Amino acid sequence: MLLVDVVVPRARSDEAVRRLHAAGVVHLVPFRLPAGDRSGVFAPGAASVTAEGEGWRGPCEWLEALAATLGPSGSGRGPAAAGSPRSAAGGARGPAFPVGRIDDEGLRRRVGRLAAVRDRAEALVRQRDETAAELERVGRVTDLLERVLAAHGRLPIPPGYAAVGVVVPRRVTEAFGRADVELRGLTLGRCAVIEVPDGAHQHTVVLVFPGRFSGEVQAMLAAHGLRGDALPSGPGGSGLAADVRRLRGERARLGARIAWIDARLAALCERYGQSAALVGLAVRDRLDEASALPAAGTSEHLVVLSGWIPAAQLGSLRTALGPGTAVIERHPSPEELERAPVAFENPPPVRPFEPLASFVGLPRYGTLDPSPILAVTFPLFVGLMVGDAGYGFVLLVLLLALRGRARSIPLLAAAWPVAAVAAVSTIVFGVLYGEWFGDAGRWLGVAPLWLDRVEAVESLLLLAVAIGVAQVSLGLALGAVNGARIGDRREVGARLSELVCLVAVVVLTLAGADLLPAPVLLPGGAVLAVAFVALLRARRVIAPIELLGIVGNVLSYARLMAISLAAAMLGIVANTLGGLAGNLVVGLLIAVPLHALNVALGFFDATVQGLRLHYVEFFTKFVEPGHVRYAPFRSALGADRGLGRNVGLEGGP
Amino acid sequence: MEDGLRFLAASIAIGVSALATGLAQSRIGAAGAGTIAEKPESIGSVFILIAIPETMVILGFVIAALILLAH
Repeated sequence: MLLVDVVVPRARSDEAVRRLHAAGVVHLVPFRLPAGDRSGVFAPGAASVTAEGEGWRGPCEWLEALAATLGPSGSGRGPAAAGSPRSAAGGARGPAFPVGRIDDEGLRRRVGRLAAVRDRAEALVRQRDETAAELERVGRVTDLLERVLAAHGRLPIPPGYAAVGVVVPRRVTEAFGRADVELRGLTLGRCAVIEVPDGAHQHTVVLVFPGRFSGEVQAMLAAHGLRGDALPSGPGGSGLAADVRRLRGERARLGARIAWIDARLAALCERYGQSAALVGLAVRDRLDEASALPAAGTSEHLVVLSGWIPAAQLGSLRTALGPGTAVIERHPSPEELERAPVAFENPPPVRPFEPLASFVGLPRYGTLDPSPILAVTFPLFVGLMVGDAGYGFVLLVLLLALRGRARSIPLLAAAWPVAAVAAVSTIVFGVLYGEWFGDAGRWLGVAPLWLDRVEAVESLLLLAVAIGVAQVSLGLALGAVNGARIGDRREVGARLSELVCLVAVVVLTLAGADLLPAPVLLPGGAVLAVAFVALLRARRVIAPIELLGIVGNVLSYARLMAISLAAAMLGIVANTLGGLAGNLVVGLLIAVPLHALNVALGFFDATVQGLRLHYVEFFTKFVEPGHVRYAPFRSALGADRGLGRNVGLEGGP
Repeated sequence: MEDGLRFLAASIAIGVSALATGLAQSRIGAAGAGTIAEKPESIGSVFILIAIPETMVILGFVIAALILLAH
């Protein structure tokens, strides 16, 4: 990344901002005066958003709301793709939108035309919501009257009386009991409560009372969190069947009305959906451009826009800005370097792991990216923990079945490659452990190629701790490298001391367990003492805690063995329980769900624990999270249409 | 008798540390859920904070394994 100042004559600043926006490569930051500058020529943030620029804010908000209403991501009304901005580039129906940049006057005319569409859409949405609410009410009343008709045959409502139906969920029957008492008090006992048979989770009653108390009764029900639906009061209840027929007809009429409104909205979407979305993006661009200048530094004659840009894009930026605009590369101060935006640059196989690597925060600019290491070790950990070839194949088949859907579900698309690599790793470890759906493979003569993890518990524990030593040591070494890259000598010293301490502790432990010759004890102890003194100098009083923490980090990797053993034992338990049935079909009916549960639990637990080991034990040694993602000042319309180079193209309105 | 004492020691080592981890995680988890509700971007930090007490049960597990395997 390079820190650049884009210097432009004040008279041409609007055009320069438009070109910068269209180029879409600069991550803008507020202009700061160089350290020690007392000249007073430049003032940061002197310019403010112009009234003209501010004038786009209102249209921007309602156009985005309109696009959501008419588009697929909003209420779901209308054809799925018709309102999508992206579909507009494909040339679907609707008023044509120019490829190039349209002038402000042309854009205002389009906004004005869409204002009328907004009014119509809002009116239709309002009508739809009201009609849907009425349909719901009529549906409730109809259902209630049908049940009254079936249970009692009639609903006696004397002249001057009103009836209200109340559906009371079982969990609030106590509240209704109080309402019942209040109703009798309110009407001086001139009321009736008619029970209507209902489902197990609610009970329904019809309250009959003098009509003049309608307002008070509704207020009382509302106070108890209950809703009363006014029922039609026929002459003495003799017209109950007729009421039900009438309400059914009303329900059908309201349904037809909603279908008619939906058709009108779909027609609006078909005709104006694309236009609303594209004009919304164009207006968003205008507002963003108007908001860029207040962060710039200004003098009487010049405007300076500061920002970060990938080094490879510098040439294309200069070309995009054209003559008359200077792009000056500037050496960032330590404070500016601290706040530099971060962008990952990894080969395609590593990219799916970038979201996992940045989950706890983006690493500091200029330090090492943990993604490539995570891309190797995370699938290895999952494979080591689940370690069953059958389970790996199940996950792989599931992923292949979901491959088509992954394109339309962003989360699935992001997780798919990671899960696929983890599945392959699980198959490999399953073959090494000789496990196919627990010990089912053993019955068919499949033997472990490497170790039987149920028997070789001790070896597995040592392997897990050895992995911990290796990864924590790597983390400490990378921490020293990062310290050197950012010029922090104290951090370099501390990390190297910690690394030497860890190695010395491991050597002493191995010697104590007679796995190394006894003569290494003395030099090992001496190295530990010297390294610890160095650590004390670097970390001060927290050095002993740091060292204990590192040993704890290493032992934490024992969870690899614990979860691995648990997964293997659950697979065996599933087969053993299935085998107890003494019948193949019944045995399968028992074992298959248990294996399915083990697949789900195994992969979930292995994922969480694998990530946890990376975040807590490994990343804390060299990743300093909490930095800003590279977000270039980029035209929303240009990015949507893939038109990053629409600079200077003037289209008609 | 000796085996019985070993099993008892191993179960105490992992049982007590598991209880301590559970107690700590319940407090941190409740506070973390509240934090995420107000500040969703803090989910990464909360994830790490919840994971930290797990070290206790892992250390308990290692001790239990040593007690059982060192026979």
